[in-house]
Amino acid sequence: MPNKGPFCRWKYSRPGAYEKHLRNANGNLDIVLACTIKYASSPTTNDNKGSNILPHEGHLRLDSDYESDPDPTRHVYGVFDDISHESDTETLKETVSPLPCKPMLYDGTVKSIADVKGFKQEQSTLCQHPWSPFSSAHGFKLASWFIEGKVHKSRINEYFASGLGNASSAWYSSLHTLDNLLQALDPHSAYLQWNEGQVDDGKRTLPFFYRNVLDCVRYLLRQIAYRDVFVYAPHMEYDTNGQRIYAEMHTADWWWNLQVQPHNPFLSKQSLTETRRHFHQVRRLFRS
Amino acid sequence: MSDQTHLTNFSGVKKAWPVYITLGNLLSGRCNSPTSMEVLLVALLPIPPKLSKSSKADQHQRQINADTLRDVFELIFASLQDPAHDGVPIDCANGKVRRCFPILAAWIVDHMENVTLHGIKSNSCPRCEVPAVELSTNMKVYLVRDYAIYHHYDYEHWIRETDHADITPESLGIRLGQNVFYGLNRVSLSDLHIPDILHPVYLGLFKHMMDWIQGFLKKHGRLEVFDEVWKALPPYPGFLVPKKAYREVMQWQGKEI
Repeated sequence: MPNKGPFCRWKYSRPGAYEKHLRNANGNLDIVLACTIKYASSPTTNDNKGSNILPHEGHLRLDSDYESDPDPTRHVYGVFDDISHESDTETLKETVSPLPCKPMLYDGTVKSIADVKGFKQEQSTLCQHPWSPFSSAHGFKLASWFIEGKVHKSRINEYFASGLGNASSAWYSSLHTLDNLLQALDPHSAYLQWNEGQVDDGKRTLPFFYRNVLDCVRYLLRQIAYRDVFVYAPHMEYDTNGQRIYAEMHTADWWWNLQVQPHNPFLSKQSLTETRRHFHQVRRLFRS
Repeated sequence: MSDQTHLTNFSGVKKAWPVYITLGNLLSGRCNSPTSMEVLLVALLPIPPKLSKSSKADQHQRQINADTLRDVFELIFASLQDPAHDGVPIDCANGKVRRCFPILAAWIVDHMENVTLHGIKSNSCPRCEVPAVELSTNMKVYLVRDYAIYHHYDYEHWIRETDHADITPESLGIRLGQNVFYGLNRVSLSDLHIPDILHPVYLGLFKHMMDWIQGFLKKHGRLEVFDEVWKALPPYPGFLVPKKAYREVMQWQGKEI
């Protein structure tokens, strides 16, 4: 029988985790309540929906045994999807909270400009045919077993040729047809095409291979598997004593500073041709 | 991130230089997991042969190699130039299109690759202008390197104007005009150098401390006892139980420490 927290909805089946939760979360309950009351009475509360998450709530999720518990950090990003503020320093000043323990989120940076075309259809197709492009769970699991078990290619063909595999239920009967299905498994694999370049070092010409970096970024951002671990805006997080917490890239200074300083002189746009010209000028000066 | 990798000893000594990429938008707990597949291979580069410092022809060839490397990285990152400054709409995993600014934020490599990529001397810091003789001291805070100045100014003119005749490229520990990342929009070159946990902490501080402890234990004849205790360490979540004594391990990997 899981134990439920007295002032929250977290449930714990292990006594150790429950005791830790009581000690960490409810030990300073008076401070939490005071912050909540003060925050609720603040006139700017409604303008900053995502920021009423206390920083230590993320730790509670880690202790919780309850798999159905929603991740509190998840709805921080979800709420800000609907906010349509302009990103500038003026709005930044408004988001600064008098509470030292309240995380600050750079306003407007998570704003979306449109919906992805065909995304809903893609989702509904995925729900209707979860094993697509495989016909059944059997076909998908068999392919997973082949790949994760690092079964040799010739052994896969041998498996089907000897009649061990049920080709009708798996929808593939050889390594070739399995390869075709695996390529169709990732709909965004077109982003990961390889290009070939040539390096000439004066003595010989060598080939090298590279991908388009922007396409790699598109590929990673499009992966549904990472949807819950994406962060789209820099944060400033504080502990209950008001001390800044640096834990992730989005809680550090680099991202925040770059976001609030769009007109930094060192960030002026340069073309590669211009850069190249400077480079060769300086090289000539130092060789002479 | 990148790391020159030894591929084969047989059929000729083959080496490759893989370059990887990941996103800073991903939470580190997931990003660091090897099975999450969040790190993509961006390029496989050839490694130029090692050249001696004495020969003038080799010095010329080294310069050509550095220029070639710069051209290769220029080609790889050319697609980021305009989007880093103006933004580009990108489809996101939650079904929204966002205006994104893909910017190179960090480059995680060991020191010798920093030397190659940033165009510094092997005994120089890629971040600040600390002289080589003061590297192990903590006496003074030095200026953060401004690679833009290194590239944009005639050094002799700059030295004359600033009245610092003792400041030369050699004293600053740089080989001028060789930072392969120079020219990328919105990239702060001195911030690219990020100390990773393996090299500065585990292989730097921890190894230095353990060498000191080993010497101390050897002097007092307690090294064998230490080895037995080391091998008898109990398992713990996230801790890999050592199978060998500490001094028997020739090369440490991140997962072992």
